[in-house]
Amino acid sequence: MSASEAARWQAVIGLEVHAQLRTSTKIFCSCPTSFGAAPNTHVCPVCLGLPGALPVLNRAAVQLAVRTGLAVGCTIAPRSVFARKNYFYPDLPKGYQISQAELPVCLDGHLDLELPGATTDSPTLQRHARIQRIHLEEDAGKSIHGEGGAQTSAIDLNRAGTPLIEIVGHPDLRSADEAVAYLKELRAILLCLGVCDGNMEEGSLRCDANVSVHRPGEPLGTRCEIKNVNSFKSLRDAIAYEIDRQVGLLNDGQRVVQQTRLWSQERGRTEAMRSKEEAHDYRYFPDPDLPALVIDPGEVEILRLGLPELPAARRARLRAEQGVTAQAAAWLVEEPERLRAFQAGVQGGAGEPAAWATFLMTQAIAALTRSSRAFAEVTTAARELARICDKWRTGGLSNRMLNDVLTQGFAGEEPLFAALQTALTGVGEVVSDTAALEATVDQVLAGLGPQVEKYRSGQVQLFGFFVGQVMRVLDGKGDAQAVNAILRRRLG
Amino acid sequence: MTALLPHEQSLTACAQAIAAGEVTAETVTRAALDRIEAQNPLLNAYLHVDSAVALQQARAVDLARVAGKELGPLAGVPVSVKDLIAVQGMPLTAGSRILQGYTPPRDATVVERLRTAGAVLLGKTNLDEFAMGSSNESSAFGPARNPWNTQRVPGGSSGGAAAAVAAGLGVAALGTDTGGSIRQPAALCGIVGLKPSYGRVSRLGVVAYASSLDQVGPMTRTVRDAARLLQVIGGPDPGDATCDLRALPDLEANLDQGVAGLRVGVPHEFLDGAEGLDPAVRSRVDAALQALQGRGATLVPVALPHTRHTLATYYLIATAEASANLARYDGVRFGRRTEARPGDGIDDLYARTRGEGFGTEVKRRILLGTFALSAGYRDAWYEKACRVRRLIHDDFERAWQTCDVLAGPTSPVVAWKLGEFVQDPLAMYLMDVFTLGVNLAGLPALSVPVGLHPDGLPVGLQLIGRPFDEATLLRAGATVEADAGTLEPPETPDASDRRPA
Amino acid sequence: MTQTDPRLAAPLEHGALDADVVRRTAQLARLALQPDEAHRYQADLGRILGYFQDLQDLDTTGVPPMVHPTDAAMPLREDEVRPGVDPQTILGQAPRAETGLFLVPRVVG
Repeated sequence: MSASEAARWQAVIGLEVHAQLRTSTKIFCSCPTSFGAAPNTHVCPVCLGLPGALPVLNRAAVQLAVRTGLAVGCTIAPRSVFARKNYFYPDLPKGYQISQAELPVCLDGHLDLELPGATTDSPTLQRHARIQRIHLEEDAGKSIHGEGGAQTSAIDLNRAGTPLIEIVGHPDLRSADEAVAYLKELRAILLCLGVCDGNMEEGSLRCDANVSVHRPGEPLGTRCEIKNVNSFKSLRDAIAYEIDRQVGLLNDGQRVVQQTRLWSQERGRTEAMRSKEEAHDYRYFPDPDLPALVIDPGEVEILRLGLPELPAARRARLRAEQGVTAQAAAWLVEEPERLRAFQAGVQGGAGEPAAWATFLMTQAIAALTRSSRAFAEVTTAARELARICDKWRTGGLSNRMLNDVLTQGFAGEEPLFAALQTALTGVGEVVSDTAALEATVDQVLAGLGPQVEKYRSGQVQLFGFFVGQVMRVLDGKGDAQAVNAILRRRLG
Repeated sequence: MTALLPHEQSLTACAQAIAAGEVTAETVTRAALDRIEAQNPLLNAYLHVDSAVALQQARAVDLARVAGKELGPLAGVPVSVKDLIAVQGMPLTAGSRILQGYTPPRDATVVERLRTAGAVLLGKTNLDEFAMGSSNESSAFGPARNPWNTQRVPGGSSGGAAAAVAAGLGVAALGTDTGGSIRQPAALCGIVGLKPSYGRVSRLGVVAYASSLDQVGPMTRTVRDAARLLQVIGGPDPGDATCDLRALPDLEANLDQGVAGLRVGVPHEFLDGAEGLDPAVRSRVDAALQALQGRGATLVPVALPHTRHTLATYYLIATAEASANLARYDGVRFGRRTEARPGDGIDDLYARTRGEGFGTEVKRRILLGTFALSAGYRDAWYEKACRVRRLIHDDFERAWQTCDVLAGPTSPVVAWKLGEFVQDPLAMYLMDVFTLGVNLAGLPALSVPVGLHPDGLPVGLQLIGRPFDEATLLRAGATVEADAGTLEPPETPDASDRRPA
Repeated sequence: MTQTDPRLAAPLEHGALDADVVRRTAQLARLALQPDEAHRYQADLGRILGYFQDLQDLDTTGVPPMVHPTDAAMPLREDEVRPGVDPQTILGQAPRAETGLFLVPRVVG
């Protein structure tokens, strides 16, 4: 389709985000929530759904839900109700999931999304995305389907009863990028609050997207729910695909059918789920085992006072007080460990926090990615990294030397901070002695007569070539600014 | 069978005799086990008996007594537990085939408290499948029989418990009551049955039928026994979020204080306005009311205008809750599974397991409850019933402005013949009309024997109390009992003497 | 819904519940019914719901649904780990289990 045709359609997107809460125990029983235990070892009568078992709600789960609600500007319901959502599935031991339906714990919040502006330093508030509700519920167990071609599925109930909050957004988002920005912001908040570990691969944070398209000014289109989105990339790809698919159908005069679709990363498309013989009828009703959850307004105020500085405020402060670029601020706040590493570098004496932030986001992370080290080491080596950054920034290290130090340091066997010290000592000092540099430049140019001629007759792009040749002779350790200056004088 | 000895006729007498060393716990337990052995083949009151463990518990009590250790309030008293309640080490059937082979890993809270009090656990008593029934005939293991006439039903759903206590197969029993399941069999078998206030007794470890209605309670030979047993099993439990946080008062302290000045409400709808009330039942109830008046109580006419809606309200709410509560019996983790045929999916496994594992009445109620909650019908049925429940509750609230307890018949009729209503579920439901409102409103209620019908079958008086005022209820019950007397256990033939026709 | 047309409250025909409704309800409840059973329940449920229709005539405008017998607030549990059950006591009595897992026919995701 042509660009102008596509532009006549507007996508409308709303996300439903499930976050596992970082409690010690499950939501309705005292089994541990830890990940990765042998199957069916973290179970008790409650999460196995044995006859006569009864749920008792975990106070910590309520507190984490309320903290989240407060962080996104929700009203906390003084009285909320748990309901049973009835359906049969082997990883749902009771035959119903305890969730909140009509009266959830948090209502009416919002996220203000900062989307990348025209320039990296001018983020503009672009979307006020409303949050409809946040409710508490229990997770299901895990089904392992037909391993080794077996005609059976195997059920592990360790995860059954893990506390979840579901954060239901209004359909206020208009593009795949906005959806990604929304999920990133929400994730940053959850991490900052310590509510969730945010791990999308392990499923601690899960996202379903409701996508429809319509012509602006006309009623909303039929929506499809997309499941199986387990990374930011798959969220962006899945929504982009789904918008294209729906626009394509409509342009062909076809209709969008309301359905649940699964994203397949391998095939790069959304696929309709096998239609069930019967439509879902969850038969919600209030759980008679659980009286109303009553939250004291005083307790809410105490939780409000305990909220940490939230990502939006933190980013603003990084920019205003430390001059960090918008891009780097966003990057730092995305993961608490990044912010910790940044702060450790600042405390370790980083000369210019803004440059240190950018250095961390680019050079340090590039070196980390090439190595097999964990990010935690970056934090413990933040002082050394900040020193390297400063030395490089003030001309004490050439680009080549910086690269060597980082590569050798990250590749070393020792702890990172020690390996970086060793590498920094080993790389030696930059050559900035004018006489020595002039001699080298003269020697190099003497061997490049024809190129010098060409340069002088107007092929000024050869300048970089001369720099490269000089640096090669200097083993990459020449003071780049001094070399440039001398070359300009000699060639000019 | 020899008549019951005094210490076999009452829990309190039994505990006292053992504590005083007049009789050993082992002797008492052995006698109860002998009666079970002799009469259970006919009465079918017990589904499971563990003689060895019971005798072991009894000997432990005897040893403790000899060693001068302090004994619990039920030390050495042989009791039974309705097979809806988990006892570690004993199979749990809920009267159903679907739980075949299941033994629970933990005791229910009430069982833990029985053990702590020193009670000897004889075994598990018969019941309607998942407590769904008023005659014990929906049990997958055949009905228990009424010791007063073994051609008659013992009532339900705690029919095995009532039959056991009436026939002396254990001095007391724990039953459960969702719509009358303690009170009605108690009335039909001529014993005392107490349904505590909702939240008075923990439901942890009790197979749920309808969670907002279920309560565990005592089934005993005397009102004092019921008080003693509730004292042991009741009180807060952090394992049940619906269990009340208030501690129990001393329930025996004022038991003999009489009823002078007590205002006894007589609901029009339970007597003059009741349909299908057997006139002979009516006359026993009237006599008991006169006796209360004679002891200084004031009879106050009251109205419970929504009584005619209790049946629909109860059955819609109870079955809706049950439809979810019974979803866990799916053949995946425990109990019986009907293996899928080749090519079948998980839904076939569920449907076949449940279709074959549940009995007729249970399936009927699951269907009714599922329908009442399903899309398009939920508002007209489930939700409507929840609103009417409030009106029924408010009827009682109004009654408490003019009276302290309410009184009327427990059941409109005495024990009926086995099989009489099996083909007519609605007629059977109608038998519960006097007991259902109590559960909807969460009130405590007591059934006390008030003599025999001309047919020779027991009649029960139902007393209903204010929320959490079991003490007043029991005091009124003790007064009724003082006048009407406890019923002598019927002469039940040994199984070896006579077989049921 | 306060005043419901009784004909809308339950799809009854000659006193029996509509066969499709019974079939769909049985499917929702995962109950395989034999044909004679289904007929019987059609009649039983029709009769029971017919009797219950009276409820629809009651005006419940403004009456809040009552779900719990008491208005008590929910007690909460502290977030402390307690021992569960030995998995073997449960897996050992499961209809089918292997290597610590419950087994069911393959579930199509």
